[in-house]
Amino acid sequence: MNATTRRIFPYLMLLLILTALGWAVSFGTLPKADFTFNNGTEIKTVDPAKATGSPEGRIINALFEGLLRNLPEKEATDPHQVIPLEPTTGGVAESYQVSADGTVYTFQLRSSARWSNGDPMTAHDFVWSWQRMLHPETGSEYSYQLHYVVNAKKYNMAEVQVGDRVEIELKDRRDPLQAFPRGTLKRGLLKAIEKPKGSSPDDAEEADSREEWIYRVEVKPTSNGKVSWDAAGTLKTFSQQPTGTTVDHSCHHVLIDFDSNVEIRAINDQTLVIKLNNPTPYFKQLLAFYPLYPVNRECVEKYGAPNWTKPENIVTNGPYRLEFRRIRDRLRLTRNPHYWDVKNVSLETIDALAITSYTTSLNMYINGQLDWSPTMPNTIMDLLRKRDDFVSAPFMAIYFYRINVERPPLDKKLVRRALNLAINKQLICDQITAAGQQPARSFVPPQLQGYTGQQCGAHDVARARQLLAAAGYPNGKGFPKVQILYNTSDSHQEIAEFIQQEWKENLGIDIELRNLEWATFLDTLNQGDYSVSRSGWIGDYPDPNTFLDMFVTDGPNNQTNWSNSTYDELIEAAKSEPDSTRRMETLQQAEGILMSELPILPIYFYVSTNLVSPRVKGFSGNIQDVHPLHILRVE
Amino acid sequence: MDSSKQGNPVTPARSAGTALEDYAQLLEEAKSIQGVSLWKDAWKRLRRKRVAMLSLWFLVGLLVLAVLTPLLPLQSPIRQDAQRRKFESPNLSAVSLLGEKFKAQLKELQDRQATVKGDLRDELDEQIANLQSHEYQVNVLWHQPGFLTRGFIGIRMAIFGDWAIPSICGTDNLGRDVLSRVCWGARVSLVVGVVATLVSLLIGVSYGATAGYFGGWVDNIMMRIVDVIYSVPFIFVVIFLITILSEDSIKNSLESYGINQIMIFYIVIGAIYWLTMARVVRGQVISLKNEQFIEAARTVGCSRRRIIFRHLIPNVMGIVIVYLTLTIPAVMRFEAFLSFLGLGVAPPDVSWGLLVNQGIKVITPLKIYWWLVMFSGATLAVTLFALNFLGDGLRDALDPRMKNR
Amino acid sequence: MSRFLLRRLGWMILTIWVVYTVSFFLMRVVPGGPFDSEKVVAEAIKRNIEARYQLDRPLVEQYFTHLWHTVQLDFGPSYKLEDYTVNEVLAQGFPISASLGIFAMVFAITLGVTAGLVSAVARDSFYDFSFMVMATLGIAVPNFVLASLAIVLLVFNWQIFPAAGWGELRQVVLPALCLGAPFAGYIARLTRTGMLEVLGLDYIRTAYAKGLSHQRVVLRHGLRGALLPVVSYLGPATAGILTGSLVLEQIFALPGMGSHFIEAATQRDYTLAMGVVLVYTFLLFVMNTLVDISYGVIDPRVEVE
Repeated sequence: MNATTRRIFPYLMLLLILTALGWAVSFGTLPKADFTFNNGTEIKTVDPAKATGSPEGRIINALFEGLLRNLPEKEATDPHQVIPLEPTTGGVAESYQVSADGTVYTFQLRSSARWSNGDPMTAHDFVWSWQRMLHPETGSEYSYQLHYVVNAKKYNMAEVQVGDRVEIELKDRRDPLQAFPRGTLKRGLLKAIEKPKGSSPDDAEEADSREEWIYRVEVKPTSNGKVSWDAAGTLKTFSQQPTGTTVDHSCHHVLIDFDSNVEIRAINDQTLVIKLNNPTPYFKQLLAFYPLYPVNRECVEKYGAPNWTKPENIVTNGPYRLEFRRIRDRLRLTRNPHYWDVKNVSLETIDALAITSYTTSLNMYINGQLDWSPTMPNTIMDLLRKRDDFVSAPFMAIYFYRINVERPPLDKKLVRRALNLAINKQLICDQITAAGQQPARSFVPPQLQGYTGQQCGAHDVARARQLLAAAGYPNGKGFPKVQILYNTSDSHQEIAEFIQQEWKENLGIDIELRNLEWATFLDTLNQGDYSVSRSGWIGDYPDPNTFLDMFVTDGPNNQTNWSNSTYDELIEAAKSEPDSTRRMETLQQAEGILMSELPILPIYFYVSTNLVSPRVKGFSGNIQDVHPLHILRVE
Repeated sequence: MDSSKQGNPVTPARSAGTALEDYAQLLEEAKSIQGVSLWKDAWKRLRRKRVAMLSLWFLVGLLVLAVLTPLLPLQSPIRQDAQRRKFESPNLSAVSLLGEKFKAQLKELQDRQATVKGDLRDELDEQIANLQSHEYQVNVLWHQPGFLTRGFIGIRMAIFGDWAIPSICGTDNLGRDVLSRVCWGARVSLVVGVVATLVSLLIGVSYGATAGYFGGWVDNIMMRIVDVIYSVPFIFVVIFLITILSEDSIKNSLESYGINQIMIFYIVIGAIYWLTMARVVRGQVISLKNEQFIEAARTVGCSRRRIIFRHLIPNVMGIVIVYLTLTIPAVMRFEAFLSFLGLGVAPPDVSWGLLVNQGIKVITPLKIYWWLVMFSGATLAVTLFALNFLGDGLRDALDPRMKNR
Repeated sequence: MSRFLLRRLGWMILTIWVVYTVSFFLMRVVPGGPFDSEKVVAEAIKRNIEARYQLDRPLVEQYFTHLWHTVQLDFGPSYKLEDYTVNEVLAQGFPISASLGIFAMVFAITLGVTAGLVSAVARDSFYDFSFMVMATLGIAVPNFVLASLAIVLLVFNWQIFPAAGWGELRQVVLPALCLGAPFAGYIARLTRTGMLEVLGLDYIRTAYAKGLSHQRVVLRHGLRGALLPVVSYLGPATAGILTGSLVLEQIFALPGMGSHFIEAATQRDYTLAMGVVLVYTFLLFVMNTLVDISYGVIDPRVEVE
């Protein structure tokens, strides 16, 4: 170590430190957005076909746009106003007509509608997007929203019968792990299905053996992309088994042919025709709801999932583009210059933060770092309610606990009823959430006209103990340890702790608590890997069906493993019932079954609570608590 | 002159008598001189440092408090009463152990009892009897008390009945008394501190002593291993370990072997802190190894094991104790750290870290519930202070260079 | 010097390899662990993992394939986050944690050295006493308690700083202060002790005798010797800052590597947790090596070997 090195060394170190400092400073700064709000959690995805939560909904509503757009009926002058939402032609569709019997919808799309890469939008985009959403491999949890369309359910459930026109996807995909772009499609008439010997007609087993079925199909010739269904075809056999066995070709899927069966048709680039099974009064609302938003085919096929959703790849058609996404920090949206209505979009950049702590959200709001906070701590709710910037409205949403009815002892109806009766829901509403929520004894919230919710038992500890004893666990003896799952948030923890204590004191049973981050929580629920889980549901449209059709057998939003065939029949019957009074009665009957069986424990009906900065204009309340971002202005 | 000598401090004047008488006198004096052991010496020095003694008394007091907590007339640390007692600031209003909530429940049941007949009436009777039973009350007011704790609680209820100390530290968001939570939390924090430190002690001392004694390539390898482990940011590895071990399926299989979460905790935390202990002990053993008395033991024919455990280790105890008192606060701090992050003690168990965490979560600009953070935070800080001061004091007191000063 | 660096590199590789091997086996061998084929995992994640890890291959082959990937700094997909790979999460979190750590370190050194210096020079005065008390406070009080007190006072009562988040420089100041406080305290103590020792040495007396000013003696001649223990403390200080950031990032809602690590722990995201552990080990090694080199340069008595 010579002397010169030693002498310059301190200066070298100083230089190093200063560089480090400079670098640190540069990372500590980010230009401020026009409007910042707390989205409450890191969202799971921005893919409309894959999302199910309302935090995802807020972002998807800004990035994408459907045929119709839910907007407040009139312009808001004061955030405290409650203005109902209407599915308007403020979306991709410029106009539409509904047939007299209410089953045929014809849409004319705007010629000015564009994707964020400048490409024009066409009706084919919708056809492709909805096909992707219905495709069984996509695994969309909201695919049942399109089951109202003729033959859509068959496609989605991969049901095929002899005599159907079918489409077969061969195992020659560009990327075997990606569902789109699909492999070569063969189309033809299904002549026969050979099931393996000894397979019983039992549903569950049948589903398992599906991989071994052999399909005999008369493949029809195609020319110029058009199938000649009338021409004579060649008989081939297909199976999902690997090639080299007894079949001609190995395939991924055999589904009914979408183009000729499912009634979603693009007549030309600007016109889309949809035929429904029955007149569905809330179909317009469904079209304005995010699962039915279109995605860009080229983008999805080029990058595959989930890479196509990355900010550098994604192509969207809504008022905003995705600028960047920082995990557990924020998502930045910037105005989409190709949006057809861009001159009416006021905010240039919007930041959606992912802060799970309610207290931190409130603190940042009061500090001026947030313009809108939909979450706030319950502990000081009484103080917050007195503020001018506190905006509250009735909310068509329910807070409930899901029960996995396949895990003993929760498979016993008596146990579930006992658990329900032992909770003092009024106390939760008064003391814990404290914003005017109502304890829930039915599943459908009370705001819906013409419908009376059916109720489960009221709080009655003595009766609860009786039921638990009758189920074989007097005083809770012998009751196995049960876990309550909830997603990370202060109020869910408080409520879970409270219910833990209630069940312990009233029933004598021991409960464990477990919390997971939102995305993991959703996945875990989906996998059925829980015993009791906190859940919430916001109505997708103002009709009791949105609450009740969740619980049909194997419904993707059921997740409780509960299945009741009478319930399924009633829900199905309600869908095709033209008389609205009778329809409501059928739904009430169904809810009666739900409340008697209790695969879910209703806790309370929400009240929407928001803190909105006075400089924000265009904000108003509604029973769905949906606040489109592109109509907001900041002063 | 040797000032630690007890007895006659003055040199005896030479008597004019015979040599025998001289020797007899010397012998007399020698008998009256008391030697001083290392411990007595150290204790004297420690007593002179006021801060260290204060810390010692504080810690002893804390320990006694923690052990006797079930005997004290405290409120329940887990019973919630969000309706009536949410967020009370520190006050002196009278409270009952069973709480207003219990009385209201009982009253409601008794009212119903009067109006109802038959099957439901039997159920109500049973419920009322249950509510008033000792067993139920103990289970509801305290979380899974062990055998000894139950005994203490029984005594407490017999002596104090329904009376409990008012909420002089306020209540939290679910109406639970902060004072009793701090006291019960002390038990958990202290136990984790002590047990985990003992684990690290066991591992560290044996490891270090063995390495130091054997020397040569054994020592080399063992110390190299320590070096490697030392350079890993162990805390992260520990958290990673805890992550894996908390996986539901693994946790369940471990529980079937009787190892619950908190035991894993002890072992895992103890596993971090043994490294320093091992190094220190090794150093000490190496310097002791060449002392005369070890030579003597070897000459006499003691086995290696006997030499290590019977001669080396007791002499290393001094420095081990110092490091013990410095490790306990590190462990407690780490436990508080983990509980704060949600990776440690889980509700309804209480620990100081968990309390601070719950306190911070409710601080807003509109309302600062200072008592939720202050009491648990201050207790934690003061305990760590005391341990640190005591450790410093002990280190100075036990320093052999300071002997007889 | 280069031999020293090479040996250090060797140790680092060994250590990281040990951590990697232990984690690898822990995650695969324990029944019911993350890569257990019976584990229930979301579809998309299962696909990611199977594509990357080839779980049907023999264990040894998996070990080496994954080792090869890790050496190329490809840590694989996150076990719980569908859309992200571990590298992406680390890349996003690292700059924030780094800026926080750098600010905290600079603050600790500046404040600590200054306080220690003043204490030593103005020995037994009021300044000395108060600085040392504050230093002890900073060391003994756990940093999350300190942070909560700081928030109560500085954010809500006096409203000097913003509450949480990042994006402006102001937002990094309070977390950096809280993070650096204990280390500032320790450094102050070390500087004071070191300074006192050095000021009693002969060459300082010579300097005074030569007629140099008080300032020159202390700063030019004394400081260097006093800083030696401080420099060697920087190694453990880095470790402490890395650990401390875990808690502070949570309190102040900073999306740095530390908070991702804690989330990975609570969410049981094993691949992400392992990636973070490896990165932290590497960082610590680099810092320790830098410290050892600096020590060797500053103190001519020390041979860096």
